[in-house]
Amino acid sequence: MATSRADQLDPAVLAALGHLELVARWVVDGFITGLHRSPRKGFSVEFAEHRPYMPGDDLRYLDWRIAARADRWVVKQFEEETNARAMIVLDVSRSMQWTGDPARLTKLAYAEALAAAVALLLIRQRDAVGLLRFDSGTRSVVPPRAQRAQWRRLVAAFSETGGGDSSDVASALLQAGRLVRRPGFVVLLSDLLVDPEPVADAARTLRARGHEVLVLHVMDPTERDFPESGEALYRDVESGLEVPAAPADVRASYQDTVQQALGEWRAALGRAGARYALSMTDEPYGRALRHLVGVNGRGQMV
Amino acid sequence: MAFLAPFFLGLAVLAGVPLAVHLLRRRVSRRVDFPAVRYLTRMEQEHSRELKLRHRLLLILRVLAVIALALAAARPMANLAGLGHAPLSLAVVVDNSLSSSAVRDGRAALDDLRADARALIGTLSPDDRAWIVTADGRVSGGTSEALQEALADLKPLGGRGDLSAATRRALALARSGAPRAPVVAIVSDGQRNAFVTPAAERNPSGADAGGAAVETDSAISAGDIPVVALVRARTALRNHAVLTAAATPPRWTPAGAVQFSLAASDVTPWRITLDGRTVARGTAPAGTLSSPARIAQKLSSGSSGWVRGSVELDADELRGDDTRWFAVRVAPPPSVAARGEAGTFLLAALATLVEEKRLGRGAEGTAGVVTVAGADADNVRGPVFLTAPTDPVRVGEANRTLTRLGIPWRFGAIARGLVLARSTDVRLSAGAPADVSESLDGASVRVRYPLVRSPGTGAPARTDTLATAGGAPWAVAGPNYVLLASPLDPDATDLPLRAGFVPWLLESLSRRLGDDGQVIEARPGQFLAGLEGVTALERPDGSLVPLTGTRITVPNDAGVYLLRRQAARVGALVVNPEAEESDVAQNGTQDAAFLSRVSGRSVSVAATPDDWRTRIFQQTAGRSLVPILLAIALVALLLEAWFSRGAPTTAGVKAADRPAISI
Repeated sequence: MATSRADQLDPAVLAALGHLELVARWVVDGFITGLHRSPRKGFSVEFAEHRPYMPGDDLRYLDWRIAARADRWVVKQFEEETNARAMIVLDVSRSMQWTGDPARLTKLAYAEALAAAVALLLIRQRDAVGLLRFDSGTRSVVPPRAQRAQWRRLVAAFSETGGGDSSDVASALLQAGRLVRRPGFVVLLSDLLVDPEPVADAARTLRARGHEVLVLHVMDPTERDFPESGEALYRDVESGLEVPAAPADVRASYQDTVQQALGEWRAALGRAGARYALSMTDEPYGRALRHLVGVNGRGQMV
Repeated sequence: MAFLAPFFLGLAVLAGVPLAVHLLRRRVSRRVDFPAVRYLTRMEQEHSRELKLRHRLLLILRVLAVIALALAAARPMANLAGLGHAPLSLAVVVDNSLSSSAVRDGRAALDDLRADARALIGTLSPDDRAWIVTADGRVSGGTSEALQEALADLKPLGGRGDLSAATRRALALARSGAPRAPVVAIVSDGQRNAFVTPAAERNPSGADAGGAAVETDSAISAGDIPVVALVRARTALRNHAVLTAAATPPRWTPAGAVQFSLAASDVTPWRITLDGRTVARGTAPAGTLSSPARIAQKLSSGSSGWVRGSVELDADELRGDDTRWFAVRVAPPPSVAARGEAGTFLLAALATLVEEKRLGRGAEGTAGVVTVAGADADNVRGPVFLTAPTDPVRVGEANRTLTRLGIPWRFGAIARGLVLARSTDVRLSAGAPADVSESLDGASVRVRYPLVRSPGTGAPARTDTLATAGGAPWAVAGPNYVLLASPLDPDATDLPLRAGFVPWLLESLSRRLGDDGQVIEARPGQFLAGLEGVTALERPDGSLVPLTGTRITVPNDAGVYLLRRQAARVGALVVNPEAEESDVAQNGTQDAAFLSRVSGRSVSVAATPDDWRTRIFQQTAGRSLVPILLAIALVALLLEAWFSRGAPTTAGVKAADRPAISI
């Protein structure tokens, strides 16, 4: 019998079941379950050396294999991993507050849930997590902390205002890099309706400072597919620019152009040393989380 | 190219719809929020040429589909290679005139014509309509099988028929087959005078006694309908023929004579039969159609009543003109009783006829005796031949006599002054020779009592007035009477001094008022009217054909048909082929002179059957283009759908208006 994992469910369904915090917890729990690792044992600690058993030591760390082979009681000495520092950079511009289908989440709602899940995931492993919300400028900043209360501060920050007419992604990235004093993680969640080069330059700068840069490109399926909606003047919600188009006539070219743009983002950020992932707002959170935390490979957070 | 339903071409205006949509889309006012406008802008920059190209391509496809559908609805026809022929409305005129019965090498010319027509009919498709029109104007229609049967049953006419009338009828039939392409095909033996219309055709009264055909200007206008003729070549025929044959006088008592003329290239034996028995033989010198050998043979009949006679020659390649028929009545001469009021000239003429035993004397009042008198005579009884009174004072008495006799005419006030009589071209009887009937024409009249119709008797029938003078009826006739509006006196009219007076008088007395009945000369297939009192036709084999009216179509077979009024024989219908049908001279096989009387946009003569058929089908507008146009429209729509779905397309149809993109 299949077990339903929250990280594999439709984000819109999850949003209907509970508020952001609850959804984030479900997602993280489901995600961690999917990792097939105990969240309590060996999590965030590394084996260092053996030492003789002393009364009072936790028998869980007794090395039974050596005791059986050499009749010598030793316990495994673990070296607690240095706490990481991560900064979540969230785009809250007006374009993020849009959805192509009322049945789906807005890009911002999707990104906030994802940011909350990432933050919870990091805080549970005692990493310090901060938040920077931006549009044309910085809207709010929550400095990184490893405290359990930090996650509530982050979630509370989501309710602050936003909706600017543009997204200054590069500046936000650089500012976030400054907030992470020692090498850490900078996680960008944005619809990336900006030019890629400044963002890539900023990512390159952060990489030079030793930060891992993870970019999650949040996109509504309507922006990718340009489905039939009749001939109309299509208006940019931020700049007000209007372009006449008939989806039936130009859909294929539009999709080609979008794929080309996504490829450019992937290439530019790749060259800058950042990790890039595309997430559609109708995809389960688990897929995006898997991209972000990078279970295997360089720059893994978990 | 032709269109069978040209009104549907108006649908082509719908081709403007894609164009209008293409233009109107630039004025879209509906706005939709869409954050990724930067991608749209970039797409337009990067794909502008491709988009324009595809837009125009799709625009062309849509317009093409609409135009192709509109054209298909208009049902165009075109003559394109490999498409066969368009539906034809084909009228085939088969010249089965007498000349087509000519036999050469054991095969009649009609057999060749029939084979050509059958081959043509065999190439028709079920979409075609076709008719067979024979030289006598008969029409056969229906399926290809029915037409083949009609051709199989086709026989040569007893006369020349009327190819002009047949062609006119064929033109009307071909035209009636619209919207199919009309074509008239003629297959003929190419007789040079095939399109000469007999003069009798111009006389709708049908009272054709002479049967002489005169070339007339019988131009046939085919208009836009193509006419293609096939003239079958044949070797020259050495034909001899009996051109005319007539019994004189019309009544034999019992002696008489047969006058006939022959055309032959050499001395030719002839024979005369009466009621099937050969009664005379001889040889005739050579003669031509224009200058025939004329022979008069005195005969005496051993039987009485109506006798069928014929002048016959030995058989040659054209059998139909080797025998010519005549009819004669063998009986005692008619009796007349003359009164002094008739005048000296009339009495002298009667005496001459009696002396020649053309008339007999009879007692007035006896049945069958015609009374000849002045109209003012007392106590005359019909039948009567009456002249106007010499004394104007007696006009009243004369009119009372007319009233008593039931004659619907009255003498008017005396009119003096020279006028000329004009024949109304109505003969005393249907069989009367033309010169007899026309003897009144040109007679000078000085004294006359213009005849007026008696009140209450209705309008005069055309046949009642034989001649007019000064615009008023001068000589009239009716049942049991002939009435002349002048006294037969040289001071009143010079009619009694004219050469035609005595024959006209005899004709009036013996046929109009006597019991000679009438001899009608006719050609096969001729339309004949004016057969009052005739109840049946007695065929040469003795069988009867009942008549219900006064009009008949003359039988196709030559011979003598007796006119019956109940059991009595009252005349004879003598059916002979036209003399000019014996002229078997032929036009060249590609001689356009054969169709010189047919005018139209496309009139041609073919030399061979293959050429004939080819020309016929070349005249058509071609095959229907509807399947091709539908295929074009379908391909255009499929391409349009493919481009619309799989690739950017040009302007076009607006999609369903749904608010799919919203905040």
